[in-house]
Amino acid sequence: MLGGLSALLADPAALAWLFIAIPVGMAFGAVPGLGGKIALIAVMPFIAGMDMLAGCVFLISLHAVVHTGAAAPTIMLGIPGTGPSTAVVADGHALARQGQGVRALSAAAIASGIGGLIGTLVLALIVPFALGLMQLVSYPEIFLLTLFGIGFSAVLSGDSMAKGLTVGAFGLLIAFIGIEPVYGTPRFTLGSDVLGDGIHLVTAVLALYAIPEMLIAGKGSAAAGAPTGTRRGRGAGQLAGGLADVVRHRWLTLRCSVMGALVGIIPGLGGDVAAWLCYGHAAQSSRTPERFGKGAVEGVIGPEAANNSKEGGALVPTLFLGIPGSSGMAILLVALVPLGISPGPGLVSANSELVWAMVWALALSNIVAAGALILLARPLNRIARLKSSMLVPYIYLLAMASVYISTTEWRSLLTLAVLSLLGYALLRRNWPRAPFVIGLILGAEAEEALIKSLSLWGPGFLFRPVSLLLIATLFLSLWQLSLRLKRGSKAAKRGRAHAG
Amino acid sequence: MRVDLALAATFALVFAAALIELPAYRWQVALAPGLAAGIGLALAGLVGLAAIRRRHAAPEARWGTDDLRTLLWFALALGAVLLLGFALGGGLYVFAHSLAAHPRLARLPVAALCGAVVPLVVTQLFGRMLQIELYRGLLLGG
Repeated sequence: MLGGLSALLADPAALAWLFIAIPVGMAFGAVPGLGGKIALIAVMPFIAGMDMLAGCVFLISLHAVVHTGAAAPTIMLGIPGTGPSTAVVADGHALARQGQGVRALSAAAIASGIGGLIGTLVLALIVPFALGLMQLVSYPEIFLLTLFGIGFSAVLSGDSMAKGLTVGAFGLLIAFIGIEPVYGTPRFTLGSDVLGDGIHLVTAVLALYAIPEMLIAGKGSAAAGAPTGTRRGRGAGQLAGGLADVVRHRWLTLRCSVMGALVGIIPGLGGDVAAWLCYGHAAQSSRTPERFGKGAVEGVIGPEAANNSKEGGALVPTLFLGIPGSSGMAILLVALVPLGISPGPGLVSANSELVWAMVWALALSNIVAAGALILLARPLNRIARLKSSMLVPYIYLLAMASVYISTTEWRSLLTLAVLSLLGYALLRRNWPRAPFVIGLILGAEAEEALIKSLSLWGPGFLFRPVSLLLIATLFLSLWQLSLRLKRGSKAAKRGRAHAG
Repeated sequence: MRVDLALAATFALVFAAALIELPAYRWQVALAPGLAAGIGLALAGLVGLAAIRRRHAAPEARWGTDDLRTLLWFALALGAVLLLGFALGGGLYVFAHSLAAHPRLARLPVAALCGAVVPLVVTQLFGRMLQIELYRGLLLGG
């Protein structure tokens, strides 16, 4: 273990690449539509001639810090930098609008750093048990976990669970547009080759979040853009406030970090599930769940911790079994090959020092990225304090460029326009938007898991012991959460009545 | 306009259309969308009924000329990019928006500066540094 650290510290090139990877990775995270996968693809041409250790450290660090960088546009502009950042946008941007953007960014950075460290620790500790855990979770459990995510987002959607579930079902249906992967059947494509590829996640997220927020800001409404609340504390005070928030919610940070790492280990679940699962958990365990979506700092801390810890967990199947835990990890797997690394069961015995150096690089890059985000929090806060209508045209263009980069298809801009109109209507009428995105993200995974479960076990797949346990947990959690939300909103109404 | 009702009706229409198309597929292809559309249709019906029962729409539920103007500005951005691409169309859009948006944001030189930033970013940052060629517009050769 320490051999890996000394190998990393003794190699100046590897250390230099680590420090180059951090700003590059953060920048890729900060531009919506780019993200970790594009970052890895973009650097692949430069990897071929690199030293094995330096190349590995560069790739691992680059991919690890993407979510930390994504926190900046997510919180300050309300534009989710990456898919999992959608879990942070509601509360993070609400805090920024209340003049507490530095506090939210500081809490996000510290939670990300801690999450990354715990993910690394899990990666280091879990190796002997990883195979057993992966065998325990199969398609039925993946199917139920995806339902878990949609159910939570609907319950957290505000006054009407029916509206949340309707929007979630719509998101699921939109996820099924395109060529069905098993039989290759075109589904709901209306004969168009653009719809044949399905609706890209970046298009949907930007249409549902960024564009509607900017449309409201363009109207000069107070609902988006420049902070509307009183500025609570100066920058330094807010930085300390973010730290205090993480200390106050230390057990939540710890729990979400461990949950994120465990979700990361399960191949196919990915960061979106980790982030939303932890957002739901943060709301469920909060004393004031009714504040979620309106600027609850726990809604930032939970998903941010999970986003980064998931990276450590996802490396377990990728490195030790050669099974990528997510599409990003699949690209990482491909990028490691030109360096002469063959991920798989024999990697630890053949290259133990290299594996531990990668583990240390993961930990170090998370700490440095968290520090960089804290340092950048105050300058970034100025962006949030700009007159929102000044940003509007640039954000329209940035959103459109992100969609074009992700799909390389100009007709996707028309899809963006249609979905933006829907997003605007949902925002204007206070309908929840998160369940749509969750449905869209989890739709393909839910379908694959459902069909495979039915093929392997028949309808009896729901009665497997782990499935029964998950179903019971799902219903109990949703029931408990909705009860707490009802109590919370009643208490809030009473409070408002007293204040009035 | 009752936006809640319109939203519920739109969702219900999409779910119903999906359900109508499903019998053409084999069960493995139709099952998941069928479940989503079936459940969604029932829920959209419930939400629609609730919206009908509420007789009076809240004032914020009504859409006015402000909404129309905002949406038109977005449509203009989309049109400019689709026709003239990100560099030229985007630059012209930012220039026009800075100059004419309500409330007025900038005078002519500032607006021109704001607009000029866009082609620079598109060609230098995206084109040269990141090697990403952004869309050049229908009129300029795609």
